[in-house]
Amino acid sequence: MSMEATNASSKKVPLLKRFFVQSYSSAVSATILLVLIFSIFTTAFLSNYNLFNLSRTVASYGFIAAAQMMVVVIGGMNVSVGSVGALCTVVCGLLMQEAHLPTILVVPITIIAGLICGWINGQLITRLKLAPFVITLAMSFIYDGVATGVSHGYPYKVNAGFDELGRGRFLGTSQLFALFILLVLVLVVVFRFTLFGRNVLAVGGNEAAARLSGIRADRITVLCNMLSCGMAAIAAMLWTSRTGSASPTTGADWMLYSVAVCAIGGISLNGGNFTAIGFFCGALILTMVRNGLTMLNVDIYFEKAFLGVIILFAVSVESIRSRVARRMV
Amino acid sequence: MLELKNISKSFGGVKALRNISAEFHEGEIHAILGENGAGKSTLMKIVCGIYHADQGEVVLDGKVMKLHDYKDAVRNGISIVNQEINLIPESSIAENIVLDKMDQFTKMGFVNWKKVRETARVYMEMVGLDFDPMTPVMKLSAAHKQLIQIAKALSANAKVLMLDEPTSSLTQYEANMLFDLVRELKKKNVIMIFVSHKLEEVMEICDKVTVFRDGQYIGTGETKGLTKQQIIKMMIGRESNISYRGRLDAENNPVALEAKHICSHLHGLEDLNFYVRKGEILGFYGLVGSGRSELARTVLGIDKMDSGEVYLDGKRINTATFADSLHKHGIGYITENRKEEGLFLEDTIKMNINLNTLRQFYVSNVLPLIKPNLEDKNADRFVRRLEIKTPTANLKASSLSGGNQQKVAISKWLSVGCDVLVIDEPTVGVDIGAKEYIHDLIWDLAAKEKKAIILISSDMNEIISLARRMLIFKEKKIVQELVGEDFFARPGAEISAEIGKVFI
Repeated sequence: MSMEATNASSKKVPLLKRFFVQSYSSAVSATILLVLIFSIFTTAFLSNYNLFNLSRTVASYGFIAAAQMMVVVIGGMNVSVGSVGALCTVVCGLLMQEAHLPTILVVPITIIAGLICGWINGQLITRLKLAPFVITLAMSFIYDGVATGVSHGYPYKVNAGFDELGRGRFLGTSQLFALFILLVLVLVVVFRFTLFGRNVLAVGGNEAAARLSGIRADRITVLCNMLSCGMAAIAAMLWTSRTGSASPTTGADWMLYSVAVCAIGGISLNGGNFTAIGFFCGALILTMVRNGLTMLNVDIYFEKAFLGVIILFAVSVESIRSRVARRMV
Repeated sequence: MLELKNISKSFGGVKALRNISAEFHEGEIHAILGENGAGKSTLMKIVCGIYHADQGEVVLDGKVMKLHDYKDAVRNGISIVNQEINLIPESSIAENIVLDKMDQFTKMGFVNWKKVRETARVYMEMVGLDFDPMTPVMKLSAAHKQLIQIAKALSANAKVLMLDEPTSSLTQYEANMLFDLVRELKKKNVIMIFVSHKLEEVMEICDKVTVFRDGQYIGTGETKGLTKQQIIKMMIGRESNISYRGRLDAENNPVALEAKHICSHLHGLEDLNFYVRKGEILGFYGLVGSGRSELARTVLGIDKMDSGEVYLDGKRINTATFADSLHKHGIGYITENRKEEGLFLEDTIKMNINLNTLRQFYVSNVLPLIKPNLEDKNADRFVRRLEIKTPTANLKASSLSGGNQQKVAISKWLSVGCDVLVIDEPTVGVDIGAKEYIHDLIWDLAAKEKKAIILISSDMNEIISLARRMLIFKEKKIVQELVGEDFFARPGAEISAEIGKVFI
């Protein structure tokens, strides 16, 4: 009996069941379902223009979510993604409008600004040994305050040509989307094939055990926070490039959306796991829901309420699925 | 009477229990024995409602139990006391004891603390605990926490009390206290089920023994009519011989690791010194909290060292963090807290085995990317070599039994190839078959591969059988060093008598 069981669980599991036990299966199913619903019930959803627009939004949210994901995988949280985004937008705008620096210099400097924010977050988290939530909450006020204080809330003009990336096309889709795909591929490589990625997941899985496996957990925590804020800086520039102006109000809603994408995508908020497909579909679902609701002529003022219901639905399905799946294995 | 009728249970096609039937009577201490993975824990969990049997039923006093969860079991008079202590650390002893029946102590939403304290004191007295009932549980030792769990069970009027490895973290004195209590409960007609790996204590206090092997019922017998050898044979299907392993002859080997004047405020260590030679097994013996693990952890940089010097092969080294010790100096540490800091329970067996050696699976030095198929191979190799009982290395580590989890924890270190290895309590909660296997591994590491091994253990037999030099710890000090191959060639009983003198 047990020999049969051995074979069954390693090889001859039906495809559907194998799909079902994966943590990304609910996200993938939801994506397919949403595409079907929106393309059947609205005419504009599959239009060329809408798909292009959608692809840009997916990418924008994708980068924000990636910023959050970098700390979620170690069981942390970055409440300051949005305010780092705001600060970096201001940095980027200042460098362009006031210092008249060329784009080629502005981009790296802005990323460095983000990395510095992350370094500060990381150092505070590991030195003070306080919950990342509390530290990044406090820091988010600081970053936000500085951004508003410096800019007085006014947007900056950007360099000529800076908006090309955000508006350009590439292989039938937007350049932003292509960048996002590239990002997802890089994440797959990092988490599957590199020592750094594995160590990150180990720290997220069990920090004490990671330390006793010779992993410098504090260093990993600082690095993840730097990557998180660095990614927020990139997201800020992509956002700026897409809208064509550097507004300090950028990032106001990033924190909630970024966590939502992770949660919908089946990335455990306790850390320790990463699924690229889930992550990708998470970004897709969030964007489609926002876009689709508009298409369905849902009262725009109620949009967030619907969004909340859909997120709640998505995570409950995922929770039920994982419980059933656990019984199956 | 508690009856189990034809109970079967599978997990994902693997049969954990096959058609188990057994009877447990009032006023009887009944031991359940078996190796890890034999199905003891699964059975206990079914009896107390945590798992649901696929087939069969649990019958208590003629009534079929249909339990939804553990709370349901407690309501029906079934309680379990286990190693994983289920108490709320921040709350007081009294609160923990009455927690599940707080409504009896509440009037209009307000708690009658006086009544809570008094009730708690009654049950604390029963288990021989003399504390202020308002003491937070986290301030107590593991032994006392265990006694509080029993007090909690008693306060719920337990008819069936299951004790799962209750003595694994207790000193001999505390264990004896627990046995007295168990004998006392026997007079009160409680049905007691006792799960333990320590045969000596089972022989000492249990009336009956039931043995499982590979999820099957092997037999039940009166303890009086059985010898230790017979029981072992029932458990593992063959007779075990714990005998003298021979000599290591490491007295003249060069010193591998040496620690001088180690001080730690955190652990209260002052000016401790030790060294270990290549190809030697140095034993650290002492009770939990006597400073043995604390010293090792301090020297390796896991816990903070305030002052002291560490030498490797005669050269002074810096072990500020454990990452330094491992990566720069090749010193490994197998922790005693397997579940908390040894394993990634929610990750796969494969991930656990490979974590320390991922660099070995790089495509090439130029391209530092991990090749997944090399990972698979390495994991499969260790699963086979250490006979880890699992259908595939892709299952979660939490799906394994204690002994097999320990094998995974050891595999992780075997593939690293450290020259110095500190092994802390390698066989706690591990059954006899796996235990001997692990002992053989440790012996070969020193005898064949000439590794320097520090073996930390509170299991006297284990340390006598493996170590050829031994430091005895008592109250954060090294009180004696036992040396000499000839000394360890003497019969085990003589050696333990010698060691026992230190503690009198």
